[in-house]
Amino acid sequence: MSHSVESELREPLVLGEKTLHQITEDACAPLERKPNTLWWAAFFVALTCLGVGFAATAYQIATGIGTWGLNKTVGWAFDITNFVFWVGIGHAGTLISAVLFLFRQKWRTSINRSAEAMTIFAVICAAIFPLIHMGRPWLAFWTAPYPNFRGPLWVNFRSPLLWDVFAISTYFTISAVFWYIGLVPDLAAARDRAKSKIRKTIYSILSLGWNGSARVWSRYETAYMLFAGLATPLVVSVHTIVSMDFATSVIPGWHTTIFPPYFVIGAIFSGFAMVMTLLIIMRKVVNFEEYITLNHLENMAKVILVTGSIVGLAYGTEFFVAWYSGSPYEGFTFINRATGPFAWAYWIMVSCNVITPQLMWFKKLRRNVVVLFILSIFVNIGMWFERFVIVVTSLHRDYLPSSWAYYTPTLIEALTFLGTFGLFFTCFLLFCRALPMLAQGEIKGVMKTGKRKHHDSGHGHVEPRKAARVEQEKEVAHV
Amino acid sequence: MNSPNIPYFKLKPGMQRLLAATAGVGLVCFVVGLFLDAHRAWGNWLLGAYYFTTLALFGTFFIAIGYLTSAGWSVSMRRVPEAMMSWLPAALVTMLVLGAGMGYLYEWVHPHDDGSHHAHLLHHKSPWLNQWFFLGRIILYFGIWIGVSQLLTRHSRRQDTDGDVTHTRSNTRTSAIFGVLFALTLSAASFDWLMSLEAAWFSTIFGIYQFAGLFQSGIAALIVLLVLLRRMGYLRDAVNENHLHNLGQWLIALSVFWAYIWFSQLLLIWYSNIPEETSYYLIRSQGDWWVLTFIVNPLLNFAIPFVVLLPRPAKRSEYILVRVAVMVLVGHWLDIWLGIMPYVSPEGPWFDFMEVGVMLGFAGAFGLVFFKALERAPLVPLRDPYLQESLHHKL
Repeated sequence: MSHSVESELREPLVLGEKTLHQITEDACAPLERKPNTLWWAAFFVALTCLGVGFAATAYQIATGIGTWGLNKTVGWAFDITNFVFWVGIGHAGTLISAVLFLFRQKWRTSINRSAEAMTIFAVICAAIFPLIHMGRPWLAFWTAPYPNFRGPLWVNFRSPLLWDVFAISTYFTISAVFWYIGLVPDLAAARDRAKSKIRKTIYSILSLGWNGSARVWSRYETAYMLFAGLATPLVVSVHTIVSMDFATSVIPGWHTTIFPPYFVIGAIFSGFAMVMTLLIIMRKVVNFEEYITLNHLENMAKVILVTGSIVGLAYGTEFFVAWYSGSPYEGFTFINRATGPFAWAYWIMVSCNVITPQLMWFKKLRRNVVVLFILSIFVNIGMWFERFVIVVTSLHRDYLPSSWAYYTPTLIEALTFLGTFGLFFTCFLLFCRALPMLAQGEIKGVMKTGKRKHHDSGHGHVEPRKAARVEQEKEVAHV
Repeated sequence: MNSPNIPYFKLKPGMQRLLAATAGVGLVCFVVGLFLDAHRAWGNWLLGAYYFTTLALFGTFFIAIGYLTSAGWSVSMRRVPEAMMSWLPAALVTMLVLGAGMGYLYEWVHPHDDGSHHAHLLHHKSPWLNQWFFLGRIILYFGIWIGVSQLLTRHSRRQDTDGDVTHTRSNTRTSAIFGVLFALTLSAASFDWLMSLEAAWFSTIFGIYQFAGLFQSGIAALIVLLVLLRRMGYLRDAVNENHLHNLGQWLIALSVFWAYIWFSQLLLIWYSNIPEETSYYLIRSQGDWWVLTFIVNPLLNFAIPFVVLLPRPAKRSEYILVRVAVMVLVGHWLDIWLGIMPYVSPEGPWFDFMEVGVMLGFAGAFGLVFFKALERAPLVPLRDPYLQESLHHKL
């Protein structure tokens, strides 16, 4: 799979001339040392948010969803916004691990593990909202289609909301299995280094008897490839179906044919932004700067720029067609978005998703960690508002002006949303302590990338560039 | 650089005459068609002009993404997409010729003001859909595409002589700017040329749908042209089964992508069942159009390529790959034909000398321009910094 010959323009993926042993040391270090104060502080904050969210959830389940700020015009708002937001965040991980794998993008190796972890936690956060919205979450199993004793009561196969159940549970399962398969060799490394008995036992069970033989590696790689192939369509299908929650309706602003690819691109955009936000913190705190290098961040910035611009194209297309269609209702919806009572939300969305990411055209800014951090947070905010704008502005002024209304979230809704952040970060912080954050095996496989020129210049006899050219011309003569 | 070692392509005079003759026959078919059924003749002209515009534009797009992603594998075949995009100036002419037949194709050219809602819609759209702006936009789109293509070709060829890496950097920058312009122009062009055939109808996904078709058929055309060159004895080592494997992966991935977009539009319009939108599928559900639209089209563009290309050996076999690629090219023709004809000649589907002739004519002319352009530079970009990676590409 690796190139036998490499252009001298390739940059190294791992800095600092690491040995194989050093990589193992570095990858396992965060598991083996005691957590520092910073970690405890972060964990405490996250846990507090989670607790608050839990209390808010318990309260609204006990009281009913009348605790939300919905009214008879805006019947769907914060819950679905947050759901779509979190599902979107959950797209980068599998994209990085599956799609970039199939595209043979070697730079994915340093970031795939933690991105996949985020995917799984984000999907869990997302699933909470439909559960609460059911009102009686203990009946959630009713969404499963099976012959039952509730009379002829079957799920509605024609509803995209049911497709959501299938799409997201499939996505979650495959992502989790894919993540776990990737973890096995690294868990075995942690097992082999474990000093205490309990530690050894746990990692032994988790690593499934991995013995590092060539046969095991070969099977592992086959399985990984197959899972990448299976996971790739799922990256697309989940947000496609989420988009159909809206697009199958007849509501102007919701029903438009571009929604499936537009939502998928938006999800990748928001997912990459969240991965970038967290990795910028993580590489600093855990000293992974030689693994998650500026090149990695720059590549991610490029993905964010491209996807953000495609999202911009979709906004533009929608706006243009709203006029082009000649439908007064379509036209009104979009003018209302940009100039109506929720114009503030619309312009936050446009600024954060389309305008500020354009700064990433400049290489200097793409390699400036502070700028990237701020921009990635902007994208996170912007993408939340995108969903809010789509959901709420399409509803709040319907065909009957007497029922036009405004929507304000209640404290309970806000705290529930805060709680999902608590859950997300609690899980992520635990992950950083318990599981290897770097895919060592894969990183060891790409160490040689971009290193050849150093060895060549070490000999000092022939200028490497010239030597390569001579070699190249010889080669061409045979073509 | 005219050393005997450097491989140059040479078009055989017999082949050249054959291509020119095909182009001539196509023109005759078109002219005869004009007298028999002008609507359908112009429909076929639009189809041929658009089809080969997308293939040429694919050349630019493929090269641009190669630069943008620093792709190594595709460098040794780059002269082929470079030659594909040399069709663009000719494509501009073929699109401008359409100006003479617009009235037969686009109802918004001569709107009847009968006070109906439909007439009102056409009036509403007239700032965008009017003859002069339409032709002006054609010049604008092609101006951008031709300009970028020439810039890319110039630097690529100069690198052959001086081996300077700055050409790669400069082309990377050009490609980034092209990315933005390409997205905007292709969306608008597909709205103009195809979507506005049914002036009242609209679909926001339409630009992406046409992009999917462009990318998929472009890869198929690239495969066919590469295999053709290999059979003529060129590029034997520079493009081997590893490169074909990559292209095969692209073809299967894009077949899925095309199907995804095609189905998304169909599902959403069917599900919501709004009269303004369903008109598109209603006329395609009449008579024999139905089978072609809903069975044959997805079969050729998605189901068969997907199943056949799934096993690894199929993607590495020149024999299988080129057959699938030809089928996809036919499928893409069908896809656009189904975009144009049910509206232009609804009593159809007709398929006779006009369909075959006009398409062959365009293919002949495209082939002539393509091979002539291929003669003008060495068959591989000799000093591209990624050439070695490409020559040693292994999967």
